[in-house]
Amino acid sequence: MSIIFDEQSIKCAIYLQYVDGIIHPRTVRGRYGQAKRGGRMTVSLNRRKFLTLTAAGVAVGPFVHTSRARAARELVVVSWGGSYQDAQRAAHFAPFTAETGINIVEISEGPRVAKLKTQIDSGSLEWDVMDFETSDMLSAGSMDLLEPIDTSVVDTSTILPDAVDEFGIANVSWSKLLGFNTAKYPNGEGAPTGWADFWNVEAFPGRRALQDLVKPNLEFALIADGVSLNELYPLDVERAFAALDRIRPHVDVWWGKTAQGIQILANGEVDMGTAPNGRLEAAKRDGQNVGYTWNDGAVDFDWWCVAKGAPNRDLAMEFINFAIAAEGQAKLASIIDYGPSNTEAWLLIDPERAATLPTAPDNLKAQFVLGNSWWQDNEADMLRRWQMWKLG
Amino acid sequence: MMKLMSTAWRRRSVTTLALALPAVAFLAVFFILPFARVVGWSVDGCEAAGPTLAHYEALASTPLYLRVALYTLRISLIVTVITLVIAYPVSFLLTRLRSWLAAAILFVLILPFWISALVRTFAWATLLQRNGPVNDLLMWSGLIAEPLDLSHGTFAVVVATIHWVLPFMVLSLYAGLRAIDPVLLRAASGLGARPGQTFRRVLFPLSLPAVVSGCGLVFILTVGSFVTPVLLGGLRDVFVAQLIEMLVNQLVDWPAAAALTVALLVVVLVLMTVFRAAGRSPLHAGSK
Repeated sequence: MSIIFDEQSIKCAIYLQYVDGIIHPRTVRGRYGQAKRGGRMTVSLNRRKFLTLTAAGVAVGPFVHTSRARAARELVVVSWGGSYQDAQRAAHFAPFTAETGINIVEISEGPRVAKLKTQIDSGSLEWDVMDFETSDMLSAGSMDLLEPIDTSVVDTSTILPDAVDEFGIANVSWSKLLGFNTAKYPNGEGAPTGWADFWNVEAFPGRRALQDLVKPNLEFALIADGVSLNELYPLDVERAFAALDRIRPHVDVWWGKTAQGIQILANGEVDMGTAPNGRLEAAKRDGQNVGYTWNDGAVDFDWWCVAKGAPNRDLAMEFINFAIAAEGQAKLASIIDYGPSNTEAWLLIDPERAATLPTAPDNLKAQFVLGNSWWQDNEADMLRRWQMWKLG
Repeated sequence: MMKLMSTAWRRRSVTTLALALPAVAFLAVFFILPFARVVGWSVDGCEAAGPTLAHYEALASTPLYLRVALYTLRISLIVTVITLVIAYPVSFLLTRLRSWLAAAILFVLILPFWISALVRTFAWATLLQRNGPVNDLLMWSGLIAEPLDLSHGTFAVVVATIHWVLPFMVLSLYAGLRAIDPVLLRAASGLGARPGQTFRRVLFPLSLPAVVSGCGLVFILTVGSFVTPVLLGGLRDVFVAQLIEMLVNQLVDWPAAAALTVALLVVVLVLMTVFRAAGRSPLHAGSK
């Protein structure tokens, strides 16, 4: 692999040459000066050497007092805060720092395309790695705001095919599922087992909730209308909206925020409705009146992406490769209710735990994976059409 | 004499300017400049040469934006009127009370300001839900047999918004009403005016400037609502701010978002100007 080095890396190389006795101690300072004035060098090396060099950078760090030098030992990762980022810290960030000495600078504001675009447009890019939602990754990728994933660094051989994109590798999977209130359906008896039941208001009377989002309501509507899980794409939009027209008068709440979606299910405001798997499982474990089915669930991912022109692009690729490895993903899945994208992670996860995760093989069979390529082409139109449909 | 006065006047205006400078500078840096950029985006022709009005034409030709804008203005108007009706008697009462009692009531009124908007909105969702306190009370009292769908609809949006904007209205009205000399009201009744007449012909006209500014404030705040309709609204309760959010974050179509923002601002400014002109106090107008 061949890498163009920045100032700090060159300093590391100079330092190694000095340690190996190739150059005299006195010439080190002079070479450092050259590096600082913008000298560039290209070095061919393998991954282990790269990590050694970076580690050497840490060793030499205390002797180099420039802000650029500090920047090179850090990687800025932007995620969503809360218990999710706490889990990432334990499973990915801390182990990465322990292994490589690279400090992770965490930002928890939640990466949005709009913010990334502002940074890149104004030439003040601060982010390296983002934990993007699918639609954000797709639009950022199409707007040339992301680096393509460097597959010579990132090993995708054991990752689910659906979890690999040109501009990102899935970090975790989560599902939108059909949940129900167990006060209405004790132990899930008589509860709806899929979208066809949800749409069947005679056989399943009760109050209903859906999320106020076009994706994946179109898929749910088509499934209810009889389309099989593996024949959803390309979506028959007219048929989907026609099915939505039918259920519309029977939906009592169209929820906006996730916390609300789970709250109305748990407190009996509605008897059945959509909610993310993690919240459903957490509420169920918590002893609240919530149950759910994996049938007809929509699997989606969060993705590790690298900002276009990221200050630490190569390091970012290294980090992604580290974070998607089986060990880290298994650790993450043991802390929080999101599924791994690495198929080998299952070997490391307790089977009882695995049954509560969206990408567990049995659960995956009952669900469908959201069709990213279709949504990439159609999302803008669908968002507008959804707003118009809402007005009735 | 004239010269002396004009020097004093000049000195005073210089002082006024100096005092206003920090606020003006702050607004220039943090509001006017960014807003100029927003206006710039709204006419940005991208690669095509020069500015364009295409984004505004797209707005005007898409029924979605027009309908949402009309809905936003309609709800804002309803909220403003109801808030005025609720706030006016309270504010008038406050001017009649002993000062410590008035201060205590004002304190209670301002209390909601210290609660985060999100928490306040969730609280309303809990209060209004089917098995919430409001429905429980109505069922217990026998007024209704089945719980009502109070949350997640226009009703909930209006109620929660009024709760949020009420203190703004009360404070505006209270300041205006307190400045009215109580002797005028006594004089009116002394000259034989019934309470209704006193209100219609003396109190209300004198308080018009406060009414106009209070209504203006409340209207503008309501037009910009975002959290309340998202959390408490039904499917049809879409405010312009939600469309702007969709354009910025989901569609990343900034020129369209900027055009919508500017269009909304212009509409609100025009409405405010008309409102102010129509609401100018006849007494003040007469004295000019």
